[in-house]
Amino acid sequence: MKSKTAGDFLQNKLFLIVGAVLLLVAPLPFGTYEQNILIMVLFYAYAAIAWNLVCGFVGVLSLGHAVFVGLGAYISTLLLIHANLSPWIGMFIGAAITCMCGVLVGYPCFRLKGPYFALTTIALGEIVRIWVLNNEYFFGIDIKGSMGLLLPQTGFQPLAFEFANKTTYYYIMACFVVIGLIVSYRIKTTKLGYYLTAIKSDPDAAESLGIPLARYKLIAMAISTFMIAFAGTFYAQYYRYVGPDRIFGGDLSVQIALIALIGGQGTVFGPLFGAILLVPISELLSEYFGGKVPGLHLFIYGVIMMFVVFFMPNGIHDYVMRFLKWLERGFWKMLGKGNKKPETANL
Amino acid sequence: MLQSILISIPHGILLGGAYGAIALGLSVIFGVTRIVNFAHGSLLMVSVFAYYGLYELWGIDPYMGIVIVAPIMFMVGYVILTVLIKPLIIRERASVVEPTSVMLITIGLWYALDNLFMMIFGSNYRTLDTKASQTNIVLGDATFVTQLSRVIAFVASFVLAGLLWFITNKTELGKRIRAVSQNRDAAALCGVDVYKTYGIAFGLGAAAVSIAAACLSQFYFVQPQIGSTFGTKSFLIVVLGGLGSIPGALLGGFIFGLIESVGAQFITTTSASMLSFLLFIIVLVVRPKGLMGKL
Amino acid sequence: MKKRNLVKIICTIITVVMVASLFSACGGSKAPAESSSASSNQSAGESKEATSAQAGQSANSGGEVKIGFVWPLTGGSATIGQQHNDGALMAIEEINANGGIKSMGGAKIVPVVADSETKPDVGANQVERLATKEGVCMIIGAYNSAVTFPCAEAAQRNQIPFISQGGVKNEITERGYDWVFRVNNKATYDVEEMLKGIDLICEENNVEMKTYALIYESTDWGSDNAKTWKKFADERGWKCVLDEPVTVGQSDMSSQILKIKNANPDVINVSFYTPEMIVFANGLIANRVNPPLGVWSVGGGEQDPAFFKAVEPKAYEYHFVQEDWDVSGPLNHKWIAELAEKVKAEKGYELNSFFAQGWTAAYVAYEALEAAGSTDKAKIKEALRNLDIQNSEDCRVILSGYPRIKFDENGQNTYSTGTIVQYQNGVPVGLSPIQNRAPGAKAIVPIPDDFDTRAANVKKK
Repeated sequence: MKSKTAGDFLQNKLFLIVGAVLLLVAPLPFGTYEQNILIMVLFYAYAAIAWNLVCGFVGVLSLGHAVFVGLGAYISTLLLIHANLSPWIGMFIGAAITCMCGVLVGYPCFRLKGPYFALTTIALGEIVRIWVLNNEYFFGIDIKGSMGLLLPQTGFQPLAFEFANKTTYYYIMACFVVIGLIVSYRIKTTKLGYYLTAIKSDPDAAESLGIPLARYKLIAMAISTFMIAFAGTFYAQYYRYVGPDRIFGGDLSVQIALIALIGGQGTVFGPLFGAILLVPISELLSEYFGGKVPGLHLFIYGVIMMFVVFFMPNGIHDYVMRFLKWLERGFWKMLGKGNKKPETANL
Repeated sequence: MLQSILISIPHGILLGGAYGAIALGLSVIFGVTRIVNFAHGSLLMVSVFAYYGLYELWGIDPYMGIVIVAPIMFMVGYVILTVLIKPLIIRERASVVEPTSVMLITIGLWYALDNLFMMIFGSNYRTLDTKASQTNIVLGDATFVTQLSRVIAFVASFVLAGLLWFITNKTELGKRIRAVSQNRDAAALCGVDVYKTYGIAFGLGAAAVSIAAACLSQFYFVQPQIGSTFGTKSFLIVVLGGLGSIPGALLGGFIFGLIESVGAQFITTTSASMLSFLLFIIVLVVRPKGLMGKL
Repeated sequence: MKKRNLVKIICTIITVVMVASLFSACGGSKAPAESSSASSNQSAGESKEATSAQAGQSANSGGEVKIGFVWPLTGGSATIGQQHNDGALMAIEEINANGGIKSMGGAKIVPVVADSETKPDVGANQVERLATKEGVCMIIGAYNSAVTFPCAEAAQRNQIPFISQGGVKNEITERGYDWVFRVNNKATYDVEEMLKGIDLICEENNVEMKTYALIYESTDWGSDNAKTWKKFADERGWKCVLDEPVTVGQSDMSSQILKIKNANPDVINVSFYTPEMIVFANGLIANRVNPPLGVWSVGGGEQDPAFFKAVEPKAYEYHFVQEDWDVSGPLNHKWIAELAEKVKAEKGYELNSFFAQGWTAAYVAYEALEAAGSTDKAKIKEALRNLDIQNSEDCRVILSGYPRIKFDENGQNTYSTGTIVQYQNGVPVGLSPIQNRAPGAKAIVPIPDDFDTRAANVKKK
């Protein structure tokens, strides 16, 4: 059953089409540095979209989601290094295992209230990070511990997810983002989405209506962790090196969470907007200030964080959407096709 | 081997005392306002720098410096709550969900403070060379050796705990604090100015951590990144010990100190560290009240 | 009505900021690095050109040559990164003051510095930026091995010469990257030197080495050192009595020291950076732990001037430290003594190995530019390949004390060595290799039990 908001959304096809076109052509006029930034924007957008599926839609705050990114990265990379298995296949295996871990984690932890859940995810992240850092072997498999995993470098091996051109990586990540957006949208506008919204706004009321909280939360968690594992594989294939400190680290978890939150949690496009805003700003800050006054760019980043949380608690999503709506109305008016009813597509 | 285990016990207890002292402030804040203050470690770090400044510039011993720094940190805490956090709580009180934005703004504050100090002071490690930090207490033929400053920290944790207990249980202010921590709305109905009390609780927490910082500065170092380790640890301790319980914070501190110290005799330090986190998760899942929690 | 307008304005601003940030990071804005406006107007079109045909691109005009640096200026290795940077920048200052690059008409070197934040992906992104947008002709970095891996790979892909400085993992120069060079030691060299040092000292003093304890931070640097040490030590038949990884951030090591006391090793091998070293050294001396053949430190914390400022001299007395530079430099070379004064005056800390390595790396880059006579990257790569610098009394390039700098076919400088020193009366005395030993210097072994009186007359730094 298509909801009213879904119908509105589809009517506002214009900005979707423009967005899709932009997505397609974005990397073309630019050099490798800019393409790198675009890829990073998409990477964080995808990770944030996946995070959003459980955290934004269900209303819990996970500050340890990097663990699942790391799991995806490690599993597919280990399969590549030791079993010569193409990452295209490995990433699905990684995602499946990560998904199972996500459910295993969610099952006991979901009954914890907000801040406790957040603290638990942090603790879990730390446990995994410290464990991988200090152990060379996992049931006999060489995981290299603190050395991290170095991927073989051959130049161009499409079957092994290795490309010479940054643009290829860009389009792969763009596909992931589009899939992520579609999944978010489908979840939001179907029964699952409504259950999750109910659970988010008032768990007790939802429960009293007979909604099995645990089951739906776990479903959301499963989807989220399954998806975010692919981001891990992409990271490994793109940078050709994964180290436990970075890929399981708290910094990465917080970054992903922040992008989704500042973008607008619980919405479809929020995480994407958040990535488009924050990733380039972080790059710019680093570029202008990073080499001169150590810490200045991170300080400004922290201040921006506080600013957005304080003044725009639902993120920038609503503001951006309104702007786009206004643009679109203006566009139609210009074409003489006015009278389009002003919509607020709550996505 | 047995001897080392026996000796590691008092080491663990001393360490635990220091941890407990640091965690006490968080216990008050967390227990009363339910705010997860990720900037707790940063407040510790700022206080340590304050003592360093007082000592280097005017030769004021950190223990004396408490008289200056603690009230300042109290005000800092009060201001943080009133200016940054109160508007968010008011805004979110309509929803049933936990105020995640409060948590987030404390994360932003943590990033901002740590890096601000990094910008100003650089990343070099400095130490305070006071008498307490230089004097060692030696038992036997160097069988048990520790710094005087650590013993003082241990004693201070009890004093601080006692002080906080006194404030929360034997004063009018304490009644208001307890009322607000039990039921915010009911307390408001009774005429308690909830946000002012929150502010005071936050201020008390900040002052408490600054007192712990005076002790810490004399056996650890002064550097912008020291806050993070202790901040995370304080959460583990407070949860284990029990929310809102002052003796619980001390107990939690001792347990973690012992795990790190005695545990390290049997397993590697890194495994002991993982064990601490694991214990934390188990306690949260199985007995969220913690060991001595009342809530 | 007013509120509605306000909201509209806010929406517009936010969206504009969002899009602007995306485009300005991608577009043609130039970074106001310490460069003049000369060449940096890399618009999107130009930078595309730059990336497709790397060799033969001129990064600038008008008497300026840009060199990029990637250091961990924040994050876990912040102090070290900042000191490397100080060394590199001071070297460049000197080079420019002496007339710049003479083969290029006195062109001045302009350093463009980036912060890797001690994160591998950030470092790699910075290399991309330096190589393409900033248009530097070579890049130096990145200290941490974990960060150096993707940085080197990015440099190789962008076909820009990369001088690895600080990373010790063997693989950095073993991946077949012809654009990557390394000036400093590989991990295996470091450890080999220490063990050879022990062999030498045992031989000279007629003592026997049997057991050792390893204590190290559980990062890749610490674990790598410990593993390599174990490998070589086992070959000599030495027994490992304790293998203790320690989490970073530990505020009390009494427990570990108790374990060491119990294990009673001949040698304690330590891999700690400054914070852990301070706690550990203080704890060792307080607990009166005295391995007969000493505490052998792989550097790290014991190369940081902040460590020496933070502890009493007796805490590091008799310690053997593998320094990554020639510590007796100020004693043997006048220009180094003068430089040491300058560094102390301007930076407030003692000249140390991190500064020295940054300095040497910058000078090596300069030498390559002099030899190449152009900013053409392929020519610079050739110049690096053919570089052969011999150390001498006046050679200002090698502050790091190596006898020579010459890169083998893998890009590794095979003449990089450290120096094993022992702190005697608060002063580091070079002991190994023999050519770095001052006349009359001798190791003090077995370590005396003078806990109360050692270094009593030495003033704290």
